[in-house]
Amino acid sequence: MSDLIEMIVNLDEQKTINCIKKRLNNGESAMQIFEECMKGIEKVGQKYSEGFYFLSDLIMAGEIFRAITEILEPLLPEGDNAVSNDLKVVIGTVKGDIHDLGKNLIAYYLKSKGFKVYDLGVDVPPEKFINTLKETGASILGICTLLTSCFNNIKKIVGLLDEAGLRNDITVIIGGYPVDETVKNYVGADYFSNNARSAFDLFKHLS
Amino acid sequence: MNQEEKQKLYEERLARYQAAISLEPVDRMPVGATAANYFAEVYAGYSNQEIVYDDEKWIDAQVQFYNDFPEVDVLRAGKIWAPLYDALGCNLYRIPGRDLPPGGQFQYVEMERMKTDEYDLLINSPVEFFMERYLPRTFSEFKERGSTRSYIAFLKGGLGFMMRSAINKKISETLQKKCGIPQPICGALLTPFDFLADGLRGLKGIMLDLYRKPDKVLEACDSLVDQMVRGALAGADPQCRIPIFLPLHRGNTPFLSPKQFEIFYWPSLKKTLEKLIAAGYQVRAYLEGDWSHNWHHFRELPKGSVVCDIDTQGDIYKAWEDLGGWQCIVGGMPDTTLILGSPEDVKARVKELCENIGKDGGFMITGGCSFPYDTKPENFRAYVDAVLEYGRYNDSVKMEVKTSTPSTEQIFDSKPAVITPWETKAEELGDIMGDEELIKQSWEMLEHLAYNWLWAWTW
Repeated sequence: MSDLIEMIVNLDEQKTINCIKKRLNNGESAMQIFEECMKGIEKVGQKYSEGFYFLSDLIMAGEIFRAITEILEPLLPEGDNAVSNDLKVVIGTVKGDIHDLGKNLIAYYLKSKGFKVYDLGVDVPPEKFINTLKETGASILGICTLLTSCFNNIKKIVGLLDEAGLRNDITVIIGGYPVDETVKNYVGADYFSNNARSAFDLFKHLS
Repeated sequence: MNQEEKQKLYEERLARYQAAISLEPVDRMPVGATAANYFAEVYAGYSNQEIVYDDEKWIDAQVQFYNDFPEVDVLRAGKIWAPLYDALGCNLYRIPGRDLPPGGQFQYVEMERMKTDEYDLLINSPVEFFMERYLPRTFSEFKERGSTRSYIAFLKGGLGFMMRSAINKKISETLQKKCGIPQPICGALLTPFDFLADGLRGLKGIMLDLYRKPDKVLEACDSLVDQMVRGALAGADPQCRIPIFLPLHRGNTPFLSPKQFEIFYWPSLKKTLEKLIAAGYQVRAYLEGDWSHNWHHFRELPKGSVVCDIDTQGDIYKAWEDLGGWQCIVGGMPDTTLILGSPEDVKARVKELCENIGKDGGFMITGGCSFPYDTKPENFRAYVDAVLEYGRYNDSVKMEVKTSTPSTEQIFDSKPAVITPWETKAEELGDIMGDEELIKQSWEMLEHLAYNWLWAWTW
């Protein structure tokens, strides 16, 4: 493991930033450094999946990732995304609910995995999900909620997908603390996840 | 039922609740013993907006609920009284009917209301911190500092605060007198870490601080203990009959690792609990999310001192394995069973739990930390009937209400803080012609109320 990867895995923010700047000053290519950083971020995700890291670690890793892209993105060749896997995901928190922690974490994870993510934010009207799916041609829809009172709003989105004739083309995943197999069946989704760990595994499987 | 019979029923229920949470002999499991019955708020058909804005409807909703489910042993429904938040332009919540549809569910708005470089100010000069930094970011009515509107907002905030206390008292008295039903909790607090994490720094802020300034987080948590305890005691039952409410938000996994929990969360929580217990109280701890990595710590506190509500994400069987017989545990009915299941599913779950857990008490079945809004009425009926059928222990056990006097001397490390000390005021007054002590007591009583008011806006 390179020093840079190790610094990221250890969540050492300042050392990571200093190291990147130093290596850029020494003339190393931004792309090469970026690829190394991605390996570090991936290892953080791995540690989370294995139960060594927790949400606080992921939030810190997200902050380091943000700082890394801030420095390196302007230096990367445009349109060249080494980790792209061409999968598009529309994601958002359902109408009536303003919670976004889980959604943001998943969105960050998916971006780091090269997914193209269309994040619609919180309190998203059902129609907006459908329109964005049509506009982007995305094949995965992630609907998040923390509130049991919003199950019917999720059901409505799946119903609209049906009406639009899109249901068979779209994989619908519901996420959030209160969802389970029963809720998945009730709203007519394909998959559910009620923790980030299982969500990561699920998206890994889908990609 | 006449008034005397209702009072008798009240005492019988309170004694049952007390015995169950104290792990003492009890005739049967209390019914509906959650501290947050959301279902009861909306069962009568009022909208969420009506409940949070109209206190008469808030009370009537609970009476109507009780009329249809008179077997319920304790009842508390609703927390928010929206006019108070409007008076201040308080940005802590999205409120049904105001910025959510009338049927929507009130939601907490998390944001960074304290900056990362303000720890020292919070620790050393909390009055300045709240007046100059925190409250102007939290109350839109304070935007034009020094304006008539901002002064009036303070006035309305103080009046509204007292009105809210009066409404809570009225609810409690109405339910006691009309229905013979006690409250499951009285008084509330946050643990220092959550106080810091919820309203002040926000989740992202606090998580980054754990890496960037861990010493300050620890110092702040330590400095908050006495104030959290004082705030809780101000609203607690003067006869120590009913536990104090402590919702615990960020101490679960995955938010914190068990190691972070032990460093940052537990020490100040334990200290806070020890002080409340020393004062003569039990605490009802809502273990929100999955606490299975950490709940064993509640064994470090005296037997029967902390009621542990287990959320749907926590495994009730593991909770029983780890805490059963030491602290009362509450929960076990999945939210989705109440919302989407059938009465048969509910009955089967109650039966299964009663056959496997808490055969001699120390266990109360409820939804995970609440009964959700969308609970099907027929499922709640099935729950009530099943608890009465399967949750019986020994009909011959006689229970009595236990009362005691709080003992608050010597539990604090610091003196109660004020904004303007009596000494300053006395100097301004000059020669006092009568009994100085009498004037001083009233001055300090209002000072303490005002000081606590400053701290009351983080959740």
